Amino acid sequence: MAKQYDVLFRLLLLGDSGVGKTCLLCRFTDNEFHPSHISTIGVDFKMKTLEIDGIKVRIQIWDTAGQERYQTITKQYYRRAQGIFLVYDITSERSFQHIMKWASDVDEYAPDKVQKILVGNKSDEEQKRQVATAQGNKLAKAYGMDFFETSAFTNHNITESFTRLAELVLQANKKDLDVLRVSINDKLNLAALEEEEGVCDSSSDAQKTCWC
Amino acid sequence: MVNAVSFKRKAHTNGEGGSNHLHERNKRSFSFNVADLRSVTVKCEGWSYLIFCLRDDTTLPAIHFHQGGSQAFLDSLRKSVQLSESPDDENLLLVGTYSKAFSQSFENLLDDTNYGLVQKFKKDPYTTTFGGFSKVTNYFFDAFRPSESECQQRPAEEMADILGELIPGLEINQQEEPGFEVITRIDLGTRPEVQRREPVLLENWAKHQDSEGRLSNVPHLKHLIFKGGLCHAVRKEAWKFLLGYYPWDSTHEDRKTLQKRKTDEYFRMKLQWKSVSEEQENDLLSPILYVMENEVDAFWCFVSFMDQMHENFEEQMQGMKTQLIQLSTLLRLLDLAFWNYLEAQDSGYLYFCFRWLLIRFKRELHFQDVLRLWEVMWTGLPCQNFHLLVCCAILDSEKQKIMDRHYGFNEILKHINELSMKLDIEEILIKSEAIYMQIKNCKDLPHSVSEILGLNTVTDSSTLETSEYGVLESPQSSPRPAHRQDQAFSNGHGLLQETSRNRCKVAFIS
Repeated sequence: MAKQYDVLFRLLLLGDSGVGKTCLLCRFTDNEFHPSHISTIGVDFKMKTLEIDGIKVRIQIWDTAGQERYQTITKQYYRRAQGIFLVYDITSERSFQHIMKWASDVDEYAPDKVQKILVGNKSDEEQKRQVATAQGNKLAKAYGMDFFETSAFTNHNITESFTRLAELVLQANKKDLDVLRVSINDKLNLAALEEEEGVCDSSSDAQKTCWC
Repeated sequence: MVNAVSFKRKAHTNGEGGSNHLHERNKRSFSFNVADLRSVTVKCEGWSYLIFCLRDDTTLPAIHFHQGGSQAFLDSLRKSVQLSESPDDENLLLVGTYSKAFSQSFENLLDDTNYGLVQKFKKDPYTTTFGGFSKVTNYFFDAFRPSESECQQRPAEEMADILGELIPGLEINQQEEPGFEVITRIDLGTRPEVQRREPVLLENWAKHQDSEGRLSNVPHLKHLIFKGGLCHAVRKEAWKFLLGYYPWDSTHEDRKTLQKRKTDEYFRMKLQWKSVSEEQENDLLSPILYVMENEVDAFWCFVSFMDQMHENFEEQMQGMKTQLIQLSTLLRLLDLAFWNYLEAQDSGYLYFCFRWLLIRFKRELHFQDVLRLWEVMWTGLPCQNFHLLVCCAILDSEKQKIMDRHYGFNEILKHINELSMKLDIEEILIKSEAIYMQIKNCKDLPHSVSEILGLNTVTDSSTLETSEYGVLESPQSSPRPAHRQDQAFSNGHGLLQETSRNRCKVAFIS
């Protein structure tokens, strides 16, 4: 039986309410797009496996509520993340300005090693654009982050941005990665065993290799 | 190795040296020789935890006593070693060189009863009341789990990172440290059979009105609504009463006048009304708007509903925290084993119920079922906080699956999130009511539980019908002098102002 994946890690979507975090996630994991905005309450996550440099990477992507008042709760999840998407809406200047606040929260609550990328979503809505691509680029540069303009609606740059963050997390954990390569056979057996037992996703998987 | 202090199975202790502080595969189980112990740091952050430092400067992972018992643990330890407070730090206990009981193994330090409990817990962690000594549920659960099942265990890193994740200020575990008190399981008795009824029809509703339009025998009417809900044709009118927009004892004439005044008031206000209503409030508004088919009526009904709900939406989330704590208290009474299981999976703060509570199951049920559930809840029957029993009922149906499949933190959250739109409202209402009756019939109900459900006001349960109504009589339904009603309506928020638990604030109109 083929192994399901080699490593697992957690990514977190952050940004103001309505910027499209849930839509990015649905597009990436299920290739679906629901135009109506139903705000996320609490947290939820979805899983997807990518193959990067021959390594099967299982990513657990946590989607959070963007509203201010739920942040005491969502902040509790920062610590669990190895990678963070800071998402704004290119048609909302305000959501772009708030990236600074989100970034400083990340500095405060997320692990030091956490990888971040900046995402300007809704790139299809060019006529309503309030934030120029150059502004996004500039901010990303200032923070030393990669930058993508995406559209969950047209599926523009979705796989690219998720894959990029996954790569960054892999690179940041290069040392552990080498250990993994050495012990890859053991992992294989364990994965096969779990499949047989029908153990489902997430926590039981996470112990295989999880870099926190 | 006789001198070992061990948190593991005896078999492991034997033959393992004191140097084996950290088990390779499970950082949470550790053992050390008491002779190697240098100091114990006693800290308290809502609950107590102990950190052991050995003579070779090794610091072992903290042992958290989420439900108390740290003092008793130290007392037990004192039987083996001498502990004295450090002159420099009152939280630091230094281990004296003298020990009167070096030859005692840790397990002997526990009395037989407690050890039996620990043993039993190892065999069947889900059904054993994990009281007595071992209230350190999270860690003991992990430490005692047989190694065969380690492949299903949560990784230590995950344990560690979740433990700090209690919502700030939400300290479900912060029950007063009750020392060494054994948590006894309260026998709730069997859960009674409950039957639902048919929804209230237009003619039933009409029968309860006198010629001038006053509703009569309101308790009975509410009881009918509680038992069967309303057919859709009745909703538009009945919801206005249930929510307190219309007084039950008003006449057709009164209501016409009222509606006229409220319409004027609405449009006057609308001019200066800055909409700060957030999306989650819209979740609450949409069913009302759908039923009312009229902006003004929907607005005033919504105002009344928000009187009940606004605490959920406050900045500090205090209302949500309170409800999660209350839910935890109820769950603990209903099924201690399940409660312990959730605790052990770091899910004891029930965050996975957040969405249920925040918008009263709006996103969990099909739209028509939301209407049914809400009208049932608005009767105020059969007790206050009935929605918490609804949570208990849903969890009751899922707990076996959760425990059998060894769901951990992530899976529990996922599983609960995915119940959305798969729930059967009638089944849930039957179970919720049955749970209510089960609790109500319990003789040794903890005070905290009767407080939550408002059962303490009932002194005589022999006449079930009357007492039921007695509790249920909600404030807005009790007859009041007309001028007071007027007053209440004049600001649109006053309806529940006099209830003790709904301290009313101006929720969203500035």
